[in-house]
Amino acid sequence: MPPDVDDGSIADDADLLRRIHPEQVVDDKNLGKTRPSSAAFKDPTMSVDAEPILHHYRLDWTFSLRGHSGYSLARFRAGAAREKGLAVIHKPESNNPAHTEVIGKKTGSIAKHLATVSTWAHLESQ
Amino acid sequence: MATAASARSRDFYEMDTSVVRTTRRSNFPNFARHYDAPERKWEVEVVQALARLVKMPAGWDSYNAPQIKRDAGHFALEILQAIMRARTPVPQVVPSAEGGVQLEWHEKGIDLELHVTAPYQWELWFRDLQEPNAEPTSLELTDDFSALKRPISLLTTR
Repeated sequence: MPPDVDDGSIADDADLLRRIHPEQVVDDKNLGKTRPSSAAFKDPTMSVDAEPILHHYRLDWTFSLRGHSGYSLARFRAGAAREKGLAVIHKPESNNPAHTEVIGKKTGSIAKHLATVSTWAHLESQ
Repeated sequence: MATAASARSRDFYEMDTSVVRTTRRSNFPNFARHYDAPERKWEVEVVQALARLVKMPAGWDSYNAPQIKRDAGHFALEILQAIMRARTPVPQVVPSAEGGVQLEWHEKGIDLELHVTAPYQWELWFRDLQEPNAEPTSLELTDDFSALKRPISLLTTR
C-alpha cells in the first residue's frame, strides 16, 4: 500500500471538525471558558471531517454529529496541523465523503496547540 | 512500599467508596476514628472519575479509541499520591484517544497536563502564564516525578 501523502488537496484554510466526548470538555479557568482537552487530539491517525467538502455536498457541521448525540464538535484549521508537521489527508469513506485524517505523532505540545486553536462548532450543554 | 492510600485505592475500579466507608465506620467506629481517616477529597474525586472512564467501551470517542487502560489509571493515581498536597487543586481527569488518562490543571495562571499512557510512560506539559516569555516545558518521563515539584508548588501556594 502506498504511504500516506499530504497532496494539499485540503487547503490550509479549510476547517476540520472533530467530535469531542463529554469527558474531554475541560474547564479552563485561565481562559474563563470550556474548551476541548488536548487529550482529544492524541490519536496518531486522527479522524476529522473537512468542512469545505461537507459544503460541497450541501452538508454542514450537523452531518458530523449525526448519530452522535451528546458529543460536542471542535473546529480547527488544516494549516494549524500542518504547521506542527502533521499531514492532512483526505480519505473519503462510503458514508462520509468529507472524512479526512490528520496523521503524525501528537506530542503534548502539538496536541495542546490543536486544543488551543480550536473553536466550538457545537458545544453540548453539560 | 505501598502506602495506605495506594492500598486503599488498589481496587478502585470495583470499589463503591461511599459504601466501603459507611460499612467500615458503622462496624468499627473506633478503628475508623483513629486509623481510617476519610479519603482525601482529591482521591475520592479522582477515583470516581477513573472508575467511570475505564468502564467506557472501545470506540467511546465515536472514532476508534481503545478502552482506557486500567494500569494507566493506576499509575496516574500513583503520581498524584506522590505529589498532591493538602491545598493542591483537584485535577480534571480526562480520557485520551490513545487509551490513556490525562490529568489537567488550568487555573491560577498554570497550565499543567500529565498524559499517562502506561505505567512509567507519561508526558508532562507545563506553562506558567505569569512568565509569558518562558518556553513551555514538555517532557517524556518514566519514574522520576521531580519535574512536577515546581508546577505543583505553584498550584498549591499561588
